[in-house]
Amino acid sequence: MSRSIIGRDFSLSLRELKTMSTARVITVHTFKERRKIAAMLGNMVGIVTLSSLYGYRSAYPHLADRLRLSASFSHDAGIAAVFGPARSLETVAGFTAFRTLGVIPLIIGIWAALSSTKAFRGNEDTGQWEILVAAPITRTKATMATLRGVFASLTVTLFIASLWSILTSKLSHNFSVPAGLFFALALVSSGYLFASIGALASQVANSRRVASMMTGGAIGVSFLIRALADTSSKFSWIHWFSPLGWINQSAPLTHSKWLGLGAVAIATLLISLLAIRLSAKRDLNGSLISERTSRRNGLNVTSIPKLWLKLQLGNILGWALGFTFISFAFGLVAHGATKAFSGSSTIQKTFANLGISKQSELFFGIIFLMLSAGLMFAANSQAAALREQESEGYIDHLLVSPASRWWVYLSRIATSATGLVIIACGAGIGAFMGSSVQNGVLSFSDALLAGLNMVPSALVLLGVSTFIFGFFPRATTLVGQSLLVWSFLLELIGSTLKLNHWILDTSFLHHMSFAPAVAPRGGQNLLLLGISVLLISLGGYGFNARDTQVG
Amino acid sequence: MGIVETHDLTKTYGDKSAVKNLNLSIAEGEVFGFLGPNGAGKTTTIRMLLGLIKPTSGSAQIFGLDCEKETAQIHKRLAYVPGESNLWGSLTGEQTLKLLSSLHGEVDKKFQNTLIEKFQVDPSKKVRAYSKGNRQKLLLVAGLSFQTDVLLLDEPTSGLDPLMQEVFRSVVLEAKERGQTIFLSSHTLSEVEVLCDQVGLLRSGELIEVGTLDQMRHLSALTYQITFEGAIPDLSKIENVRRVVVEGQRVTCELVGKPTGLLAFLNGLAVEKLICHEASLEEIFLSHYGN
Repeated sequence: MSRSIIGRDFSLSLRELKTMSTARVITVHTFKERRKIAAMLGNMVGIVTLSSLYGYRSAYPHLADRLRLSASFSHDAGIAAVFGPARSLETVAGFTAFRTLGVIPLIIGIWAALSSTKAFRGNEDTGQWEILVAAPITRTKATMATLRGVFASLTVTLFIASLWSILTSKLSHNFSVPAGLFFALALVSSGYLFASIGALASQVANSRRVASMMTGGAIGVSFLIRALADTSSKFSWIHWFSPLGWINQSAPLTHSKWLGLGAVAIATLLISLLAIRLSAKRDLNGSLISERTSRRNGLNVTSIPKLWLKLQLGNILGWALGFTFISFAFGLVAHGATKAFSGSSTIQKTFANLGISKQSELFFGIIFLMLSAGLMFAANSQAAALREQESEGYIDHLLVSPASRWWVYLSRIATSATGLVIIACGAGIGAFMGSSVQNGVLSFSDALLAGLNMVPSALVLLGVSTFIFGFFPRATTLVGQSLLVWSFLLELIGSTLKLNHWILDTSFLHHMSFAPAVAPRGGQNLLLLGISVLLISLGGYGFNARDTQVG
Repeated sequence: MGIVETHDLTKTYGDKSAVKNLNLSIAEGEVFGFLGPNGAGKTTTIRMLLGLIKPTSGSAQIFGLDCEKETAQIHKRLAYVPGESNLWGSLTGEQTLKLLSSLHGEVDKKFQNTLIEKFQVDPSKKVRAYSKGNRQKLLLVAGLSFQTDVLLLDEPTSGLDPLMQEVFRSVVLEAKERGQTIFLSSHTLSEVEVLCDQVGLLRSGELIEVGTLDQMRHLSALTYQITFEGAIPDLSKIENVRRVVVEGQRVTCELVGKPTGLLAFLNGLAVEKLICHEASLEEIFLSHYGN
């Protein structure tokens, strides 16, 4: 088996290849491709856990504050729908579980699902799987080996998350080491399950795109069932129809019930076995469902901007709908959350220092800050998509036309920037609608402005990523993702650790105002827009001056 | 002055030269065959001509315009067909053709439809449903339908079946009759032999030979096939004779220069049959690159 069989970025040396069996080569390669992000996720779990714990202690130092928080959250159906059931919020352990259990399994599940569909259907789409199974290995063993690689990377996440849990347990004395280990397992378990669902979807779908959509659909349905189950005790039994519900039912740090995690383990095993079985039965490049392969009346693609629009429309609309839905959900819970803020004397003081008087809107300010990280992720994925157009050779067809490189580049960036504005508007509209249902105080114009307030930071990240694309194209995605993670982590832990403002200023998110709680800073936003235009222009200059780099 | 010119065109990656001091001149209306083994620098040369990559030194001009600085003007009168390329899978063949055509300006729709028929492409399908050969046919339809002054073809028949290769040859000959200049990089030597007026041989980034096929044949060895009736004599010691291969009663050898020595040696021997032919392009190619 040669280095070229799996791809240009094959992660094993020739020496390793010579000494390993084919199955082991597949497992190790699959694992090595994923281990860095897996480690990053493990650290994210640990840092979020630690910051939640210390943040809670700092914000609710007195028992009276904690009891008020518990009373206001425990009976709020909206809060329960979004974050899951609020158990024992008067305790540090209860709050930490509540803060993390609603979000982290979702993030890990999404990553694992995408990672799995890439390893299976993605490699099949590019023809790499065909070369793999032509090696001395059966399809069953190749599928098992790939699945082992994906699971091994998740085990890295679990291992690092467990180390953080042990550390947190020893430092805080708020929960025992076994409870901490159970907590880490509960958070990461969604990854194993959704990775196996991704593997199964890859056998059923006929392309990676369809497999990812199917897996994304499974996650979405799982979230909705879990959310519905948590809104009323009448529906609580339907928890058992949702993998995310099983994880919530395991109640880590408060009750540590093994039944929920047992269900996750059994489902993971059964779905993995089904995926392995199907992989051996079906034709290579075949699928159980077929995709429409012809269409006569599509968008009339007669120019480069129209091409970018055609390629990006689904992606942008997907993001916009996702943001609208999420902000709508947060709009529903805003009322209850605001009541909870008023229960903390420390938070009251912090608001006063920040000059925030409209506490009812501060919740939205925090939500828009979180959504801003998502918008920055979308911005970076736009730059990554541009790089992919180059690395896969698509862009050559445009560059050999009479269109200038500047036009090809700027039309792509303009499509991305417009997409970011649409996504941001979606967030604003969703928040307004959610708030309106709860008779909230958020006006349409304030909501829209708060959404648009996220755009300058995202554009700066787009500028940085395109600048890197212009000069160091192969580093585009990595640099963008690293800056995003850095900014997100600084926002999470910066205030808790009381970091120097020079460090905090390096976070893209730190320059955002808490709109709609405070008015967007026009001057600062204009400055950010100016910086992004400068970076995008420099990136264009670099792209214009350099060789195209395929691969 | 040629319509396509390169002057000491060089491209290096680190300390490795992909193309070294390449000097080419292709006349208007000529079909130029660009040959060389994998990694010889053919695609690098074409990408420099297209302005996709910049030369480390030297220069290239098409229509007298600089390939590095005046790419947009050059591309108005040039079409390119790569041998291996990704096309946007979510577009149908028709959308792809419409897009590429609109980027190049006016395209004779009737002529494009004729090409679609000749190459038997189904444009209603999404590109992701096409086989490699069908994707290549779509690229050929697009590139050839522009009827630009210059056509750059980089291994354009890779993935095509023999029938479609034949269609390709006839379409290129029609393009030549219309006066289009064609730069054809290919591994299919029979194709180059049929289509090209001039051939350039590239090895490790250096142009080792350039000229018409006749000029190359003149420089190359003649191949002799001699069938003997009785015992097989040893021809390897004869002046100007090389590559002697014995198969039964038949001896095949190459002869460079005058045949005086060989004919004198054969005189008096029991020769049943003697065939002499000029070297094919394949033989010329192998004599340069073979072991």
